[in-house]
Amino acid sequence: MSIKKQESYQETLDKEEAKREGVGEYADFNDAEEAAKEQAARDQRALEDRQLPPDPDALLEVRHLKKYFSLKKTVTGKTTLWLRAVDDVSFKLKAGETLGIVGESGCGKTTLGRTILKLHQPTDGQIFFEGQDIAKYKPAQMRPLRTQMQIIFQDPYSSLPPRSTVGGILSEPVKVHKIVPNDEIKDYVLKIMEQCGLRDYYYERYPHEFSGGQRQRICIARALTVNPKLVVCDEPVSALDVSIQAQIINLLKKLQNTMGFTYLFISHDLSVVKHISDQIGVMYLGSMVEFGDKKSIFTNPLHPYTQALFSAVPNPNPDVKMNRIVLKGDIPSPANPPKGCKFHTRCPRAMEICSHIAPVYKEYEPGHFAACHCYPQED
Amino acid sequence: MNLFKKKGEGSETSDKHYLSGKEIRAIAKENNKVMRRLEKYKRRKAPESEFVTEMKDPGNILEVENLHSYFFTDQGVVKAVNGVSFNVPQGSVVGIVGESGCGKSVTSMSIMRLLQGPTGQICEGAIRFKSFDFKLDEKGKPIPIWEDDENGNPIYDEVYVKKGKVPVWEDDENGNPIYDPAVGKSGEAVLDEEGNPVLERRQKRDEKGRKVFEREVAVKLDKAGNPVLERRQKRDEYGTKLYEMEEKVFDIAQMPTKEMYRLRGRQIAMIFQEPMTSLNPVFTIGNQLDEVTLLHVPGATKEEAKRRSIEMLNLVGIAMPERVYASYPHELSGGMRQRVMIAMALEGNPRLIIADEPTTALDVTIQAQILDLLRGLKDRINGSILLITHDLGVIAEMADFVVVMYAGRIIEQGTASEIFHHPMHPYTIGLQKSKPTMDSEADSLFNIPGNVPNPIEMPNYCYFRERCSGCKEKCFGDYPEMVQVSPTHWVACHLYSPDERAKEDVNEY
Repeated sequence: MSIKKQESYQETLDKEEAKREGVGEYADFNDAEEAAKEQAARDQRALEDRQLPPDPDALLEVRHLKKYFSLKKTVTGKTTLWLRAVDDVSFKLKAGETLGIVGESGCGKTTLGRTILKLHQPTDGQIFFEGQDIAKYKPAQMRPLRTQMQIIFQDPYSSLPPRSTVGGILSEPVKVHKIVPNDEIKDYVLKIMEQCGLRDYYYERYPHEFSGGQRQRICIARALTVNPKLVVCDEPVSALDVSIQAQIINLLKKLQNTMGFTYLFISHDLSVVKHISDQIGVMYLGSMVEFGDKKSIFTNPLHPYTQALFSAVPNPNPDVKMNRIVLKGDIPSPANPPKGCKFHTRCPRAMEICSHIAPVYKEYEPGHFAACHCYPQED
Repeated sequence: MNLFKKKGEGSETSDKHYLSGKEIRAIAKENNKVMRRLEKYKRRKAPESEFVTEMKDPGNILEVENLHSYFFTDQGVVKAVNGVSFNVPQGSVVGIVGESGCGKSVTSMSIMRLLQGPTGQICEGAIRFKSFDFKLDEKGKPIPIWEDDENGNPIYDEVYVKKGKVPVWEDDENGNPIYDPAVGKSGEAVLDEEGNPVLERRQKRDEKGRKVFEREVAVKLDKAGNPVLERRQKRDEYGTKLYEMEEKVFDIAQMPTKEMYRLRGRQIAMIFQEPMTSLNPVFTIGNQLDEVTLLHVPGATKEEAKRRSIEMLNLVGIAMPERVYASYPHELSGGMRQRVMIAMALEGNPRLIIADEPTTALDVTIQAQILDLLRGLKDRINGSILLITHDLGVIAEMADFVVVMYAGRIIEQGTASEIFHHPMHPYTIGLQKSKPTMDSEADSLFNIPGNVPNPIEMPNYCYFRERCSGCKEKCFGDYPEMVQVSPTHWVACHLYSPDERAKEDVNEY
């Protein structure tokens, strides 16, 4: 009911917009036909990429990853409406580096993180972890890999079991995965706690006795106990105060330097992502719109969405008057994304072609990808 | 390993109190006495002279002086706001920053007198607000402003009353009525006794096919049959009647709760953090917006209220306000809901808007939209804004004056450029350094160790002592006094107290 109504409101807005724009050179453009052609070309590319061997340098390589959720089903169980939470995302992540994923709420960044960990079964695509494609693995096959990949959740208040002590929370994964012999577990856990800045007498305490920052440290310690290679951090500092945020970010950086973790850092706070990441991916409505190393993304943002996102971050200097790009409207519903380029309804640089043809995700500088019609589309 | 004997030794959470049942009962008994007295004081009937005061500086719209707001819990008295004083000058934006638990929200709730009683109480201090209120006659009714003709004589109008419905007929080009053969329920032509089709005059229909009716209006007559006359009153652009206004200074802390209706919504409006929980899910947006006008503007009719609501929705940049007017809160996105909240705050034409974390629940791009809107509105409605947030970036962009709070007290206040370019208190400096910025290249962030203390039974020394890196011997003494460093800049820290400053260069920190 609510989804339907919201769409109709959006539709009326779109109609008003269309009336104002009038009819242009794409008036007799057959959207459906063109979309089918484009989809075929995209499938062809995906099929070709599928044959390629995985990159030996990358710890994690994601190719054309898709995760669709079914919203409406017929009586026979056939889905008639899909929510494309993650739609054709590809990237590589080297060992020991940090990839920051940014985007507004509802752009699919959390779903991407969870799909990579196989907490959601991907709809299509490949996930290479250390050269093996885990996309099609069954839960039983995934279990030994769980020691290699871990997640830190956003809300430290709801992600810790209230009935077990800190010691119990931290020793459970050690027991399950048989990391150390049973009689050494306590010393091992205490060592991990010390690394995360937790005092040893916290061992017998319960989560409710701690503040948000301390709880987040417990969550980090829990992820560390199994000695993982890849840690997905799903907005680990969003629920924390500024001074505590700095403590947690410094802890994550220190652990990376000493233990060589690879982070997939998901956040909506650009300044935090900039501080911690080596590579940055910008997502909008399920697609990666720009990807590259931190320096090239921040000095030369290509996609208009990235530019708007960067200019929207408030600057803590009262004398700097920023020439801000204010985007109009809200993020559209991912159940009914706009045709063509998904961003064209809010884009300050939108052209006519944008509302009809989706741009190609292409490499413009070495390691710097973007999907936008403002840049040449042909090879 | 001897783990469990160390409990409480130098721990960060050791300030947690574990009380016995006997102790808790003793505290509760003591608290009940105080709470009952304060609740009674709030419910009392008081003449206006008891809470009308004078402003210290006539340029201010709000003066908060030595405000103490406590929560009387069974664990002890939580001094959430402990001696806060600041001013909001007319037409400016004052920002309050601090981490969660610093008492920012409790300060704003105290100003609105919305503290959850009987536990939450304003115990001490004054909140002086310069209101622009209706002038009342002896009977307590507002005095209307009359409209006169050129010669200064009053104008009298006839009063109209609404009567039954009258159909609106459709006519042809020459103004003659059109007749159609009548159609029965089953679709057949209706015939009269002689077998001729019955004709029916054509009535106007709206776009949905419903017949259009008009309300019949008649002149109101008194018992003798003469028309009732009413003196014409001045009206504003929305058609609302105008009354005589006067400036009065109220001490909000002393006002009885019932008198607060004169200020809330009409004089001081509030924008809350979470727009979904602040809007009622079972009423339409229009219904909730109209309510404000109907409550706060005397003599406003439903049509006037609707016109005003739609105008306000337009003002906050909502496309198609009629559409939003008729929709329910769940149909709108977060940014739209926050715009509706702002529209609702503007409805009563307030002189002071308290924005309590207005953008915290929103995305960066939507936050940019809302901040743009607030900045534009401030100039248009000529109001003042008290902005409460934990985001230093938002404060830097919006505020003229900044108040930094820590554990229920103000530790530093000054103009925005003073606070951001010459921060003095170690906490302010730490807050600014610990926030990663877009143009900084630091490898490791500065961090303040530890947490904000729980303000139950705070000792009488600097609350920041345990977390401070510039801590001195003197910090183990009394709580530092506010020190004035420039005409507008105040700081509460022993590093800047007069005798300490003479000794050494404090800029070393």
